[in-house]
Amino acid sequence: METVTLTIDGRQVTVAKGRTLLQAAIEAGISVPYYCYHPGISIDGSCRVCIVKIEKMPKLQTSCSTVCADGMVVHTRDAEVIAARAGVFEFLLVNHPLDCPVCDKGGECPLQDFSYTFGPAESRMDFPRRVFDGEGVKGDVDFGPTLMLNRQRCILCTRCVRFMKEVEGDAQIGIVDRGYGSEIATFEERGVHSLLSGNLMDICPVGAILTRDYRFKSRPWDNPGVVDTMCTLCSKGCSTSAWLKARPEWAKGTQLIRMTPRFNPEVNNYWMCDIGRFTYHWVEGDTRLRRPMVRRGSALEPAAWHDVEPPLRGRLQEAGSTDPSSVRFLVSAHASTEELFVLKQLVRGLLGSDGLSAVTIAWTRSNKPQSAAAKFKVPATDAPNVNGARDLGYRVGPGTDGLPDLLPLRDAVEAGRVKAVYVLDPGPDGSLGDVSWLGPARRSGALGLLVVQGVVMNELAAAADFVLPGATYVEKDAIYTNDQGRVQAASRAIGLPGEAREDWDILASLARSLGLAMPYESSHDVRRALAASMPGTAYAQADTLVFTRPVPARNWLQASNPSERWKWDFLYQDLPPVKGYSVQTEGMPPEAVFIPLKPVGVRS
Amino acid sequence: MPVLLGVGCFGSWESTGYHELMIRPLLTGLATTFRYMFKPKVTVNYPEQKVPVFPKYRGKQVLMRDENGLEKCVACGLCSVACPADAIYLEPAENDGTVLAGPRYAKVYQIHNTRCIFCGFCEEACPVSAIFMGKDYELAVYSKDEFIWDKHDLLVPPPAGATPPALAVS
Ligand code: SF4
Ligand code: SF4
Ligand code: SF4
Ligand code: SF4
Ligand code: FES
Repeated sequence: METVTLTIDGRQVTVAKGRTLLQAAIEAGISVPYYCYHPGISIDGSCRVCIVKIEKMPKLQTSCSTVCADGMVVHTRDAEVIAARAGVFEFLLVNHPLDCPVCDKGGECPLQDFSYTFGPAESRMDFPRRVFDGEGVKGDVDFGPTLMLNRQRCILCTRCVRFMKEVEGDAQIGIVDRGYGSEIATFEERGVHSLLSGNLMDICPVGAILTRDYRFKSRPWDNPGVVDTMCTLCSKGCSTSAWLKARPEWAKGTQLIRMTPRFNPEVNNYWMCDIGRFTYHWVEGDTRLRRPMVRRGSALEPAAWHDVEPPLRGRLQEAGSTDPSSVRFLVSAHASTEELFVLKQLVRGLLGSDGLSAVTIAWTRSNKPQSAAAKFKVPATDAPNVNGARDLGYRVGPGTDGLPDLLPLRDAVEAGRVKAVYVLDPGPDGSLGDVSWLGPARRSGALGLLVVQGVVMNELAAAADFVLPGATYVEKDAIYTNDQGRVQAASRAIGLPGEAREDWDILASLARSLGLAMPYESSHDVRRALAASMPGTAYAQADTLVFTRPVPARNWLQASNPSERWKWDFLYQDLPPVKGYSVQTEGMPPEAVFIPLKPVGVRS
Repeated sequence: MPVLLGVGCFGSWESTGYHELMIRPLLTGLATTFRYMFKPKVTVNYPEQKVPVFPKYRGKQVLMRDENGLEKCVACGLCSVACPADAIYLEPAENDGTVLAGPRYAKVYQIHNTRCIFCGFCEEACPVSAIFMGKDYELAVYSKDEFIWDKHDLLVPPPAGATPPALAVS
């Protein structure tokens, strides 16, 4: 790799050739503020807060758009830079409404933090602020089905404009009018209609674009727990962070409050889609299964696990007594690799080496309309682990691009050739596709036994003889194989609801009660056995994958997990906005920390 | 000589005399009593009578209303994060215009009576002057369930001339 060496604030910094001064400063841990720069989109150079002094250049330069050269000598804390930068910050706040108390960005807002650190200590703005509530234009408006736009807060960095043009591929957002009247707008105020719209809240450096889902839900300091995990709602498997809202100890209960993307250059870059971002409410919804249930007469009644297991074993053994292959398994591709591994041992133990033919893997596909130029494509397959099932030897057809074939199972069930169906589905409602035939088959008697190991109460579970509550993707440590064949880890973020158990555990105890050896105490044991059984594949390292837990934050404004912390420290350089003190200003001369205003009308 | 202590006391009783030890203090005490009988009374018959509290007394919080009777709290959560005792819990929600003037209001606002240390930080943190330390100090309750003050325990009554939408709320 070719490198260049330059001096920033008296420090020798060596970076790859082609990096900009701002990137070099961020890599070296030197604080330079920025708004229009975002590592995931192109460089614009419009906000001017990143200005630095470069020796031998007559004027201050924007560091985000200046490429490093050998021998450059750069000052970011020179008196001239400090004064000019404070001037830019003063202009940014001239029309900003400063409604931080009701702004969802407040507390994690780069405008707050950088203004506190680099801006002037007070405002000279005595005039009425510009408000966009004139003819035909409203300040605070709906911005499409998922977003809200507050024009008063916008600082016109154009990150959203560039994101839509470059990543989404459909330039729905633009700047209309010019100069003082410039504003962010969509054609005829139609708003943003995109599968990637949620990313606009992440990239907007102020609270101008906010998602409706997170609107008024929480304040950043109420979300101290952040878990690095991954999204399992399609076969892409984006790296994500699950945020947990805490409450005071006397008002008990943490809550899953939002999902944000986590930088992963191999899979999702800085982004995630709206499906993964907004579809998490079902996890803590009312339809979740919390207790095992057994059918007594026409009703399903809650029962304890130890009361469920003996009759379940009895019924399964009875169903398989004449012909073991008349017990079938219908498994959603939302099942993790651990679960599929335990299931494989279970069916092999019961049915012999071709036991896997008794398992039907199901998933759905949906058309996700995106523009042809979109850089971030959301795959059609709505399940995370079709590839994992294939790698374990299950029959899933070629590629992840096909539809599952439930017809043989359906025919067999409707013809009465199947005595029992065991359904395993840790995914959201509907992830098995069309199984509306299964309930009626059970009710008509064509099928003798229906066991549903799932997470939500739905039509299928309501028709079952046994309902076993399992765990969703944020409630267990599990691995999934995405459409690129990457084996990825999803960490447990929240506890299991009620008496629910992890799915591999339910399967393992069922196998034990049927007389099979299952020497596993934890999902880690399963991964170890999986790794040992598949040497030379991507699974050989399955037991070394890292799962994360929220760790206590160092201060109340800091996210608790390492990757979020990295983001806060380096990407947003987000530190307690305590006036007069900031870690970023440590070591700076006092005159640089307190930036006094020049009196109006006096030329210095 | 610890065993001789009693003997020693008895000895001093003998030497000072009975009247010196018993009668004179009794008369002094009665004289004080009689003197106070003619002084103004300072005892307050609480709870029938109450002492006025000092202007800066910090009692049970009150949540204010504006001149239209609408709530002032915008549910920013700054009081709750400023609170050193973690005594405040609130849930913001979207306002339809009947609760307060802005878009955001506190759907749930709770202060835990026994956690609050009455430091007044919540009052200081509030950007919209919605919460004030009140003067109410009679905070004993009969059940632990009443330890939590809800919004209706904290909100002041709407002002006399308030317009209807506000009154539709509480
Ligand atoms: S809405 Fe946000 S991202 Fe878009 S230009 Fe304004 S401040 Fe920048
Ligand atoms: S693209 Fe797929 S994995 Fe990524 S966030 Fe969307 S649904 Fe989740
Ligand atoms: S007075 Fe102090 S302890 Fe009590 S609620 Fe307010 S901030 Fe918390
Ligand atoms: S009382 Fe004041 S500080 Fe507390 S949430 Fe309401 S507006 Fe914010
Ligand atoms: S970050 Fe350099 S001009 Fe905006």
